Amino acid sequence: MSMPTIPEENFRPTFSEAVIDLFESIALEEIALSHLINAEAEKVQAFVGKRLDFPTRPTNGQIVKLNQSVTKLMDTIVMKEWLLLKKLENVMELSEEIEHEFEE
Amino acid sequence: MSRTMDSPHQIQDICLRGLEAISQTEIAIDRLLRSLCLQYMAFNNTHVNICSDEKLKDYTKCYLARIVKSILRVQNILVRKSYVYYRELIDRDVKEKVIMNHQAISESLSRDIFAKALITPPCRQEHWHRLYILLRRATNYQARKISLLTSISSIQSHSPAPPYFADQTVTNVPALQSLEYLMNQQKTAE
Repeated sequence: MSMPTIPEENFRPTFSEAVIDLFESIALEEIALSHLINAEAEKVQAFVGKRLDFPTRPTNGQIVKLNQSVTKLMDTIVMKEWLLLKKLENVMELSEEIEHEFEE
Repeated sequence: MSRTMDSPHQIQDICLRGLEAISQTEIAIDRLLRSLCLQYMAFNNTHVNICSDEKLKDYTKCYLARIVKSILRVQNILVRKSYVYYRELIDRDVKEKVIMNHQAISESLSRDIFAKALITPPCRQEHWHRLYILLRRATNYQARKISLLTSISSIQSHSPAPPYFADQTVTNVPALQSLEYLMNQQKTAE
C-alpha cells in the first residue's frame, strides 16, 4: 500500500496565505459549534413546549434521554473548544513569525 | 478579505472575525441557557402530571447541573480564546478600547468555583436553589459578555453592530427574566 500524496495543483498558497486560511478555519469551526448549540437549544425548547407542558407526552425515560443527549453534546463541545483554543494559539505563533519576517 | 497578511489592519480584521464567531457561540449559549430555564420552569408547573415524580425531578436537576457545568467550561475556554484575540488587538494600538473590559473577563474565571459547588448530590430544595444561583450567574455573565463583544466589534469595524446582534437587548437577557419570574412565583406560593 502506497503512502498518500497531495495532488499537484497549479496554485499553492504561500505561507502567509495558509496562516490566513487557518485563522478563517478557526472562525468557521467556531460558527459551526454555535449552530450546534443553537440547534440543541431549539430541541429542548420544542420538547418542553411553549406552555411548559411537554406536548409530546414523553415518558420519564425519554426526558432523561433528552437531557443525556444534551449533556453528551456539551461535553463534546467542551473538548472541541479546547482543541480550537490550542489551534488558535499555535496559529498566532505562526503569524508572529511572519511579522518578524516582514520586520527583517 | 484579501488572503495576504501585508498590513496590521488585516490581522485586526482576522481577529475581529474570530471575536464575532465567539460572540455567535455566546448567543447560542444564551439560547441554550434560556431553554434550560424553560425546562426548570416546566418541572415546577403543577398542571403537568409528569412533574409530580420526585425521582424524575432529581434526575433532571442533576442533568441540568451537569449541562450548566459544561456550559461554564465552554465559556471559560471562550474567554481564553478572546484573550488571544484581544492580545493581538492590544498590540495594535486599540488598547484603550479593550483594556477597560478585561476586569469583567477575569471575573468570569472564578465561575468554575460555582461549577464545583454543583457536584454535590441533590438535596431537594437546596439543590434547586444552588442551580438557580448558578444559572443566574451564568446569564449575568452572558449579558456582560455579549455587551463587551458588541461594543468591541462595532468600535473596531467602525460600522453598526452585526446583524445577529439586532434582536439582542443586552440588559434584558431572556433567561434571566424567566428565572426572576420563577423566583417571584415561588415567593408568592410561599
